[in-house]
Amino acid sequence: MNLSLGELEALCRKAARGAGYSWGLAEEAGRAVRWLQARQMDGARALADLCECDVRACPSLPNCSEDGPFCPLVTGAAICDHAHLLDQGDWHIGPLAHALLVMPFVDWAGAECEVTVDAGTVSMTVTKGTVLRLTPQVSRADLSQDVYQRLNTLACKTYAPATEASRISGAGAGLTDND
Amino acid sequence: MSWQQETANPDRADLRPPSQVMRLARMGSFHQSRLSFMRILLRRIRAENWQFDRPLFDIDQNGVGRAVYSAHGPDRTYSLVAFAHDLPADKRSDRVIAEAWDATFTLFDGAPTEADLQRLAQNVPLQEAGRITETELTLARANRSVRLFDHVVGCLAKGQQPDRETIEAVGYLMRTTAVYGSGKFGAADREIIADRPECAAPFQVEMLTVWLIRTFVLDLVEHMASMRAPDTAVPLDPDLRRRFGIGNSTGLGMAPFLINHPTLLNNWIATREEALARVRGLPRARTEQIAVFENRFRRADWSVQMWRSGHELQNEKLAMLRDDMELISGHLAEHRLATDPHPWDRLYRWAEGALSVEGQELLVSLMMEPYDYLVDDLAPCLSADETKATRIDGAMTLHVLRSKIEDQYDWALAIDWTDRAAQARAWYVSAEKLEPRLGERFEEPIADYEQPLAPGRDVAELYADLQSQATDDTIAAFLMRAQQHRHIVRRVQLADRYPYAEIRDNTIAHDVLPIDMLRCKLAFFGAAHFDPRSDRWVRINMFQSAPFPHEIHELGDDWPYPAL
Repeated sequence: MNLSLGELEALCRKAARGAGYSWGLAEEAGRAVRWLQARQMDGARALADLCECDVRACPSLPNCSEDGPFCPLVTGAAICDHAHLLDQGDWHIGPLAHALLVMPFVDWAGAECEVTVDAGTVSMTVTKGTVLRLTPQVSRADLSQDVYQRLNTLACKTYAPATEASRISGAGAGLTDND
Repeated sequence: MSWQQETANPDRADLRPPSQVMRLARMGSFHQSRLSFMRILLRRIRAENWQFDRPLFDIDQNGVGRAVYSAHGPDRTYSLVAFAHDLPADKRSDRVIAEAWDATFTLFDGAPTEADLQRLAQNVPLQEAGRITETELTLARANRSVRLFDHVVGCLAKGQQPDRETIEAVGYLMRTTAVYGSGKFGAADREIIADRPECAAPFQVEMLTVWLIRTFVLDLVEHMASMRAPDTAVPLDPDLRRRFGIGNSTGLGMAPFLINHPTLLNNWIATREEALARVRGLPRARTEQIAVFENRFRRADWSVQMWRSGHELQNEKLAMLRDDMELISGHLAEHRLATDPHPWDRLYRWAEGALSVEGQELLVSLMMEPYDYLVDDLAPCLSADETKATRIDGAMTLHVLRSKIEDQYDWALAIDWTDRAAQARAWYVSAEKLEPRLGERFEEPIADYEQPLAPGRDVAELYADLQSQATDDTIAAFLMRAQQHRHIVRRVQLADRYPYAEIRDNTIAHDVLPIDMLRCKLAFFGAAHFDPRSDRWVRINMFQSAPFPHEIHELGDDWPYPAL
């Protein structure tokens, strides 16, 4: 499935909302996946995987606890929100679920991170600094049918089942269009 | 360049405050102006001497076939690809849930090859159920006005011109029921074209699509008449031909747009307010400028007389507007714009006390008409780069956040949200073809599906939760505990930087009128003759009286005001 980045962002925002994230975090999810896919990283698959597990914990920044796994969206948003405290010291965060999704937030926070992989778990050290900024490479997102379907299934949870009453009154029609 | 930096006129009046402008009743009374997106497009096409041709027109006598119209600008070509269908009457619906249309369209970025046309033929007629690609900029469809289309073809086939009154009672031969752009259904994202000068103002490719659709539809009726009766058929008289616009039927889908694009909304309103402030600031008006104003006023008066609506709400407003036109006329007879100091400011101040909101806002548009040099250069300020992520400033203390809420959202804090009438409605998206709808929160099972389109209610909940928090705590720390407020915290910080970003009314009240939101957006497009069909659905006319591509270099920018 070849999507425009606008479509991808909307799909991911709805999927995250469908998975139970607040609207504010769902917006972050849409932007984060768009950022990743534009840089040819498979953020869409990472989001589908994340939404299907139930990881919502967040380290208590700025003093990091280490009782993950942590959710990359909640953690990423917290990294951005606390960016003003980064010059007080590094943060060691981990383990992180689907850590790829944290990358855009680290960039937005004006920070850089060092990732360590240990026995299958991913942790990172976030430091204030200028990263080698990754620039967008592509203007479209190619999603596998599987990932598209999984995200779409989640997005569908935000749609109200159609009822006859809503069909008639909800959009305000009812007069003939055939004139 | 941003609207805030514009200080060309040292006498510029103060901007009208958001508390006055951003009310739904006023936004729902806006009219087209020099800053309307249709006029910006046609001014550019004329100034840059764009050329037009019709490389393909293959339509049979039933009106079935395909056509291509190309617009050649200085650097690029854009082509409308049209597919015409023969739609049975029982399939014709303007609703999003429709699945067939009289004609379907896409705007192709460049000149399409036969292979492109084959691919588009497989997808464009399906609309939402098909897929387009990055070489397509818009996707649109239109239905015939049955009452007028057959009548006009019949007249022309007999060698007669349709009569002007019948035409003006409807105003269009087809109405579009959706014009999608900005990456929808696979089309190119806005960012792909945003750097092109011809796309700098908002919705330019959408407006170009509609303008070329109008050309196609007029060609279509003349062609069908000629196929039906080759010996007797005549083309439309050019003056009569221009009386046809393109209708548009707009439903709820457009209403959330203004809430979902706060920086864009801010820039539209702020730019228009800046233009008004520049005109009001003028110390005097020159004779030729007064003549332009008076000419446009007389023509607007005629247009108001011609404006028909089937809806009670609009008819009440129209009755007041007709009274307003008489009041303005009387006022102009008694007051000399030529000798008054600050004549426009005085006129505007008089209008605030004397006219209905419809009349005030029409006068605002009319006052801009003589001043191309003050107004037209503001067009680039109407856009917003929405791809820049709006990061939350987590370092802000809750004390500051509270004071910003008190400054920007006093209207929301004044509403009693425990009253069920204040929260009677909920915006949701139906599983049925993803149609946006507005339902009754306490009567339908929709609250769980509510879209974030009630900033007033959300900010009141945030403000209530802030009461129990330490005021020197930061937003960063607060949001770790209260992620449900993340969306509205972002909006509050944004509204602080963009004063016209937020509609200052309750968007889920029992008596909210979504048509006010539709009207605001459609007026910026440049639409006229708003005809609400209910509280959430409106028909309009686009490009009525506008020149066609072959005559654009001969006719001026005053086309929205019909010739007397």
